[in-house]
Amino acid sequence: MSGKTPVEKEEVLRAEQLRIGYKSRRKTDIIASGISFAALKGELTAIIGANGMGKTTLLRTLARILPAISGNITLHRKPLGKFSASGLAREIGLVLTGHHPSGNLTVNEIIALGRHPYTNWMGTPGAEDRAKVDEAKKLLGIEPLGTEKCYTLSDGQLQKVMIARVIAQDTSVIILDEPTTHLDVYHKTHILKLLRTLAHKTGKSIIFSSHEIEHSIQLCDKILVLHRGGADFGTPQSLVRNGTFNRLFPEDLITFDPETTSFRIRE
Amino acid sequence: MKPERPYYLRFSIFVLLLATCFLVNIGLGSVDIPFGKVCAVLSGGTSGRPSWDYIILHYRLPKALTAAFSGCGLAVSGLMMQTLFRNPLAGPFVLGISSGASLGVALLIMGASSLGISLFTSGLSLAVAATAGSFLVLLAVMAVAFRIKDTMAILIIGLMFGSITSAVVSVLSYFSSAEKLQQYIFWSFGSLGNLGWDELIILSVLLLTGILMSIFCIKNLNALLLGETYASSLGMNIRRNRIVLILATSILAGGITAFAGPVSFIGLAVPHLTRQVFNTTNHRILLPAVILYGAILMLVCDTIAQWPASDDTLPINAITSLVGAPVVVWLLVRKRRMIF
Repeated sequence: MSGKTPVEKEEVLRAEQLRIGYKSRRKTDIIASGISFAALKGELTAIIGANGMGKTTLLRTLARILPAISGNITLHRKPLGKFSASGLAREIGLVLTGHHPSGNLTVNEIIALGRHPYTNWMGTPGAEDRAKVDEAKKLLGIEPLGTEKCYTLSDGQLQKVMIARVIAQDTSVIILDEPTTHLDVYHKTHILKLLRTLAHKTGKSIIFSSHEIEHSIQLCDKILVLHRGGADFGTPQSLVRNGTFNRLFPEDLITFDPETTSFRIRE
Repeated sequence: MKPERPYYLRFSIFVLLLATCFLVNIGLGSVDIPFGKVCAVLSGGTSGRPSWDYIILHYRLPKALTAAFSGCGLAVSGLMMQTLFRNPLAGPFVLGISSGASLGVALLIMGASSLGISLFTSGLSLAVAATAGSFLVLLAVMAVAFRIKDTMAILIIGLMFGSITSAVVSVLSYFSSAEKLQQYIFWSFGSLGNLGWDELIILSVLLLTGILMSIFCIKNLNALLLGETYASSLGMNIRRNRIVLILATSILAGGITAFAGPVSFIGLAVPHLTRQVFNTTNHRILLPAVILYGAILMLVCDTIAQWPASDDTLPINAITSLVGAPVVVWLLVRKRRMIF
């Protein structure tokens, strides 16, 4: 015991009793409800859940692409709805799956597009913007790729470029939707470790959705688990202790082993 | 990251080419006028023969300007539509603007006569009918664009409007006399030579408005290269931007179609040809480049259309495709990859 009390980390994004889904004129489809969590400064938070439990819907709601059905979301203790479009673009950055940018853009151009909320009406990057682009490339170790066209990149490289773009956007929150799909286990680990380093080093609050439960338990500061009964939020250790991961899937095929923090196939 | 390449050399070559094409276009025609005299008239002097002065100032110069203007406008609207829909096949007429214009003109020429009304069909009344037709289609597309979330749906709806109007035109053609039908078909060939200075002023105002609007969209067009969700996460208002782009395209393509008839191909091809030369998707470079390239290509096509030292001018709408399509095919085969 060091005797020091841990410094209270600053809260960035908070959701309270959030109910998410899709609303149309005729009916409302509720995908998940009872979601409460807080993403803190400098922390990596994973959102985990089986297919169809609302991971992507939640991320879209947090990024204000979708309106929440009910409940509150606050950013820096201010309601999310109070931010202007350009103000929000300086606070929340996105990395999506399966949205490939136009293939003829160079790596530099893609990353520079992240500077849009700060550039003039023509979008011309100035000296500061170019410095931020260089800084983002350096953080991700992709300096040599600068002038490459993005159709020549591998999936792993492209993912890093998209993360560099969001770093250059210089937001306090970064939201990533399944950043490790299409990657092998080595590159998965690489990207997730990178996100953790980025969160701890730059003080950003990074939230991502993932199917990599075992990786997330080892690497994340907090995990939000979406399951049929609602949502659980906490440190990986507390969630393992409470048996949350057992509730994640029907138990006829796989069970969660708290000793090894991994899933076992039932014989 | 280094500052953007300004592409000075390529732009200077384009400007020089444009000036050359413009002069050659005015210098050639059915009446043989020495090139020195042409330059003299253009620089404010006189050629010594009033008939030559008249031909140059009231026929060739407006025609060359019409060609350059329509080339610019169509190329810019093609570029905007290709980026908005993220589709290399999009062009200025995907929204059904030329179909709307065709319908207006068909109703004026063929519809009125089949109802037993004989209307006076001058160049101006054709322009009014074409404008009214494309404006109606534009209103329908805008009504849809306000309601729909998915931009791609607008593409399909534009195509559907096109089908409906061409079906109505077919029905009208079936019932109209050979003479009226011919008149309609001649309009659909497109013509750059019908504009006087008054009409040219209207066209240039429309062109200027459309291009100014597109300049204000440059930043958003670049953001759209990442896709709509990323663009909106960068603070862009998707619907407002969509409306501005559609409006600018309608002003440009609609105005040009009203005065010069439906000129196909330029709007689709010029953005692709420009991307081959400039090898970038940055709209700060592409927009001025397509303006120059569009004007050049249109002037070349018009020069070919009037060239064969005869009194007849070939239909410009056919020449643009005849000249342009092989060029695009050749470029794509040679580069083996379409830059988009």
